[in-house]
Amino acid sequence: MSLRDWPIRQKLTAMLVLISGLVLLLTSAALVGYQYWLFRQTMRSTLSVRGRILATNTTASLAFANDADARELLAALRADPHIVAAALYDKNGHLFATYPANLPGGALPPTPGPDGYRFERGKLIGFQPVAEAGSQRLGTLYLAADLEAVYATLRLSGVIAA
Amino acid sequence: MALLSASFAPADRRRGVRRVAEAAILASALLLVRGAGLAGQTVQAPEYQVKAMFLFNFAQFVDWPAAAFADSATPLVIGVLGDDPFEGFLDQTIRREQVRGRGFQVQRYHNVGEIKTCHILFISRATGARLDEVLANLRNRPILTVSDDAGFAERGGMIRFVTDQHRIRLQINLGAAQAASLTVSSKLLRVADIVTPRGR
Repeated sequence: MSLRDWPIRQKLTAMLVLISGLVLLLTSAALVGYQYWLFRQTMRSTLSVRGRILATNTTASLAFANDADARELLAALRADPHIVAAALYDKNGHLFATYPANLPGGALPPTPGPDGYRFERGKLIGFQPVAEAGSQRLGTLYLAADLEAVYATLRLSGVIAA
Repeated sequence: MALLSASFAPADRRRGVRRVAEAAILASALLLVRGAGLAGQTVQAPEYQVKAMFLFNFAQFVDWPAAAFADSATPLVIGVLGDDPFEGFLDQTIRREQVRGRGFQVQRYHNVGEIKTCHILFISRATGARLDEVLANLRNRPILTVSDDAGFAERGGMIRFVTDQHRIRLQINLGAAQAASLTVSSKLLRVADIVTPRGR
């Protein structure tokens, strides 16, 4: 039986079902999209807060060239498994301390990029100026976080929407 | 002779080729070492350039009592007592710099009596024998005393630069700084060794 031969009642029901399905799909997609966007925003602000706190603590290690102390401070990032790499650059842009210790070569930018936090090549990265309040810049902190947390949330909301 | 030279020439050439190859290997090895050095960022700044930078940086991690400055615009004075080992690095470091809205000034003194307003004082190693007298004269004045003289912190000085395998470490006599009403930031203390003078 072709669509043309369906009774009018059945056609109306089919149309209603189709429209409701479409609306539901669009709403779910919008919701998942919004969640994705929101989570990325939250993740960026969380990393920037973490960056600012760490930068405030590493001023003296940079000012007095104590790389052992800088490494110790960076090692506190172990508490967040999503942070995959971190580094401190001195005032001249030279690499000063890195995290973790066994980081493969080339995993870090050779020189600091422009200040700020952004999503780049499947990672959230940030360059944070290091300075004491009211004083000149002492260096730059680099942080890189994987997006596993974003993907996990996305999967979960996908499952809920389905 | 012709036969001799004919039979020796290839060997000679071979030796020549080997010498060229050796030179090339040596040259590339040298380049590699230099390249590795650059990659490792082992650029060594002159010792007193680093020390000048440290003296300037102390201004960010030490708080002076309000009475140490005439007003909020008074520059922070970094003094050098005795021979100046900085070769101009100190003047270079502070040029156009500001910390918490304050500019900087460098002053040089021949004897401790000339010191009027001073916030950070580097005491040259040459002061040696007169060090106790100098420190006694400055005791409890809000002047951060710094030197690279051995035993400086134990003898009542506040901060000593210790050179250890091309690195400059800090020794701080916290008691002396506190007695002079100076507040040393805990961040500075983190990167320094705290020294307690004997017999106290």
